[in-house]
Amino acid sequence: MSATAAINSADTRAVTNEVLLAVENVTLRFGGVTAINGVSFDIRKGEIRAIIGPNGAGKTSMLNCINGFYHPQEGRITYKGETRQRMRPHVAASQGIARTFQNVALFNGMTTLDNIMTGRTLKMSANIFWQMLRLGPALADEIKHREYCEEIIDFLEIEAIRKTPVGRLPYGLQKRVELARALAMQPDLLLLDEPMAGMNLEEKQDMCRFIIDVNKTFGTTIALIEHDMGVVMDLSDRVVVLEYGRKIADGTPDEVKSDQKVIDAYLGVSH
Amino acid sequence: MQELGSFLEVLISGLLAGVLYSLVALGFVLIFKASGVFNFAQGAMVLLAGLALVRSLDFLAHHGFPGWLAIVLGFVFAGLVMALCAFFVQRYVLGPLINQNALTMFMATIGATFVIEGVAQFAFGSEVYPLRLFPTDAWIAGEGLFPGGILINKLDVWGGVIAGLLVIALAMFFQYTKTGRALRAVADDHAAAQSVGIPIDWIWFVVWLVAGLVALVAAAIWGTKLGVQFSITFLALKALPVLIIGGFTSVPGAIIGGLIVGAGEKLAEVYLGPFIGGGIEYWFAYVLALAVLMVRPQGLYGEKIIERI
Ligand SMILES: Nc1ncnc2c1ncn2[C@@H]1O[C@H](COP(=O)(O)OP(=O)(O)O)[C@@H](O)[C@H]1O
Ligand SMILES: [Mg+2]
Repeated sequence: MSATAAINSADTRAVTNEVLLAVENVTLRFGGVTAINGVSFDIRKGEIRAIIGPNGAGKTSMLNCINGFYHPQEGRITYKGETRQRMRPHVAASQGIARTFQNVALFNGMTTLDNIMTGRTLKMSANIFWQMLRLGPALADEIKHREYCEEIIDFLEIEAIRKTPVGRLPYGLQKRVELARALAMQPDLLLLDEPMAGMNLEEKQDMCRFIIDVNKTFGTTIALIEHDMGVVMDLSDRVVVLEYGRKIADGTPDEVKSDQKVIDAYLGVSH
Repeated sequence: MQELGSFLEVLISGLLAGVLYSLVALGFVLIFKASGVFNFAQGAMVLLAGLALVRSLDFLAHHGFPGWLAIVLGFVFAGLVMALCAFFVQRYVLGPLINQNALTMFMATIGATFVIEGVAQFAFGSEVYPLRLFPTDAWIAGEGLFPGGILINKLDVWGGVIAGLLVIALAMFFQYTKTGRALRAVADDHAAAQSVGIPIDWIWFVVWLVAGLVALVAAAIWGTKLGVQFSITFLALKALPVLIIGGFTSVPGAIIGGLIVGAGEKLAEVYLGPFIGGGIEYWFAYVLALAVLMVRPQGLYGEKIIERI
């Protein structure tokens, strides 16, 4: 992992102090279960922000609140300076929030390329009649967006599987296609839910490299849930730690690593 | 030769009748794929489309509109009625039930069925209305090949051609357009589709609209055959075995299933009827469906469902 650390420390990144997303006192309940309990933290423009914690800590639920799948009962979420009420996921997408899922969620009936093209949905404009005829503006539109997708495909080194139905791909590649689809949206904020879970060492290293490259090349702000502590320490600028729905620590990787509450939370917890 | 000729005659008329079953089954498949909802109301939608069409044509003809203009306006009007129907179903029936289980949704469409049937008959009347859009006489074909030639109804041929064009248009729409891609995305994974910015409620509206327009085409053909009347809703009952045979999630399955049922029941009627008694047409499709269920529960073209445990 030292290679990734080296890339990370190269001073070409545009981490700022500007807050892109602020979560304040968010509480989310499912019936009797309190999945998130009064959590506050922020994500700064340009940074890689890790969210860690044992299973069931509420990490995925937090991402679901941020991209509008869940609506917290209490608290506020402010994105790009705007505090939102109940936001729906497609609106979050239109404001520049993209994500991947803990359990790969691809469109299994489609090829890699088509999956990635769905990421361009919001950027395509031609109306449905032109689309049907594949003429005029629709064709130009389709070609333009396809070119963009091809760039993403080159970037993530998945040229060989462009035309493969994604259902047939091995897990590691599916995760990569999912990242490609999210990148095709040209997001300002990218939410990654355990992008390396279930991968072997080599695949993990590739994924680390891609995450750093995305952050550096496109300046995309990234929120990342990950269990592998080594990866988290190498990749992230700041880490927020959740346990049983509460925030127990927040800071740089070094600060968090030596925090007694974090050490306790991770003792004896398998992950 | 005489026998081959009459066999072909029965086969062709069966296949062309099957096209209608295909069309109705297609409406089911579209909605089932995109939303996982088994739409009990498809038959009611055929009735609504048929009544809207025939009554507006009557009205326009009565007010002296020339034939072709009346037909265009009649279809536009009926199309708008189906759009309205899709809007109401999405907004007030399925919208509030988003993320509920399939059975709840199914029950809701049963409710919608009665409302649609009621409103359709209240608004447009409940008698038998003859519809004359296509020629209903017959051709004699292949006279050189078979003694006496074979008899082909022009209406059946029109139905086949129109249904074929419709299927091609739908296939292009699904495969090549942004909206079609979005529809396929929603069919595969709701959450992922939303995460790339596809609004589910809009897609559900589009899918009900497309199903409504397919219902309109079915109504136009069926109505020309037998007049637009309440019994047109029974057409939907034939769609069930077609779906079991073809598979609930497959567009080609719906088409092939419809053709198999159409041709099968006509052939059975003619060739088995003398031995086991007539009326085979009424139950043949269901027996065939049972047989398919036993051999291939997912249907000929359906996806095999492997339950996750
Ligand atoms: N849709 C849901 N319905 C009910 N409970 C849920 C739902 N989503 C999450 N939870 C509960 O919220 C808690 C946090 O889950 P989650 O956010 O998935 O944790 P993590 O991603 O940190 O492992 C768990 O107790 C989980 O059972
Ligand atoms: Mg999780």
